[in-house]
Amino acid sequence: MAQYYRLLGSCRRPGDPRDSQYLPEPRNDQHVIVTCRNQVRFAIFVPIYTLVLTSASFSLFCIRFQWKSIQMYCVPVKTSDRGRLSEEEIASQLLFILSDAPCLPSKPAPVGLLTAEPRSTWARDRQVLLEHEQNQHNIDMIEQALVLVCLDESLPVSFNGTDFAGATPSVHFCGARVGFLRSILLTARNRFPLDSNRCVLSNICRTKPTWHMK
Amino acid sequence: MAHEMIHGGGSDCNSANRWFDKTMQIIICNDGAWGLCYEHSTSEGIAVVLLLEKIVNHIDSLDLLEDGVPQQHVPPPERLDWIIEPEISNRMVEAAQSFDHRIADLDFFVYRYRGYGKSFIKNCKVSPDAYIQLALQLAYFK
Repeated sequence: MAQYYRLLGSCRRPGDPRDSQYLPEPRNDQHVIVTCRNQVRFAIFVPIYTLVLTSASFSLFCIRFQWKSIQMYCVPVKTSDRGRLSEEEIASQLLFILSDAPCLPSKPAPVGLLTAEPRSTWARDRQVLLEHEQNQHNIDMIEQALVLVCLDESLPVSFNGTDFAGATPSVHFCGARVGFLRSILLTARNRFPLDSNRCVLSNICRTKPTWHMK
Repeated sequence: MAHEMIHGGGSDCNSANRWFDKTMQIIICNDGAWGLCYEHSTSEGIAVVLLLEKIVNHIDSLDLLEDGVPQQHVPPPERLDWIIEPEISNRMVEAAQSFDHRIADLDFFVYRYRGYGKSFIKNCKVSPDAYIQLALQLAYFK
């Protein structure tokens, strides 16, 4: 039965030569970490002056920028003074995140990528991160969180497929022309929002990132 | 969709929006797809399946909230900002490359087979898990 109590609030700590487990401790305050990915788009209008014979005119030339930002937030779900937060209170925090994340002044670092590295490499990088107190606080908050909620942007439909000419639109190559059509059919069926409740259990990926991603 | 949940599609897509050490990562896409990325070392798969079934049933049993205006008296959530040394930012570039390389190396398609399911396998007094594991080994062997 002990396994049932470890699902929420535990974490795997990287180590060299071996990893360790961070197991949940009873505490009054509970939180989740929400990590939000956004494509930030903004445009700058640059006036361009042109002198054509006698008439001077100017037009606006538009330069568009786009970057992907990833920002983590700590959302409390139970506090010692208020007790459990209500559904509306949690919803208002999530709405705040969705409106805040695209408007950040600077691009946050994609630290989560480091967790996909081989364990001993990540263990070394984690030690370097921990030298700063603020990073230490962030990592503590992530380890203690009940779950991590990842708010993603959907993958392009061309992902994991080939186009009709047989070229790969993404880094993925499935080796068959029919793959593109097939992936559209499959993703279209899987991604119909009304269907999401039904397919959730088939989506459980028992991934072992530390083993099969090496 | 399975790719989205397993690795997030690469450093250009959602792969950096993860923390793979975390036991349970609930992934929600802006197109309504959602799922779970689960770190297996703390617990068996069945525990997480039962937990999710309970959550899904609980959501179904709740009434829809008609008044959609959320209350605003909660302080805004704390942002987690990182202090990044140049050494770590170089490491993130390397990590992005190596992760993308490993994703490119993964050939993975999900098909739906409607011929029979777990009830048939259980009828034959075989565990569905063992059945799939043997099928994978046979496919690899062939």
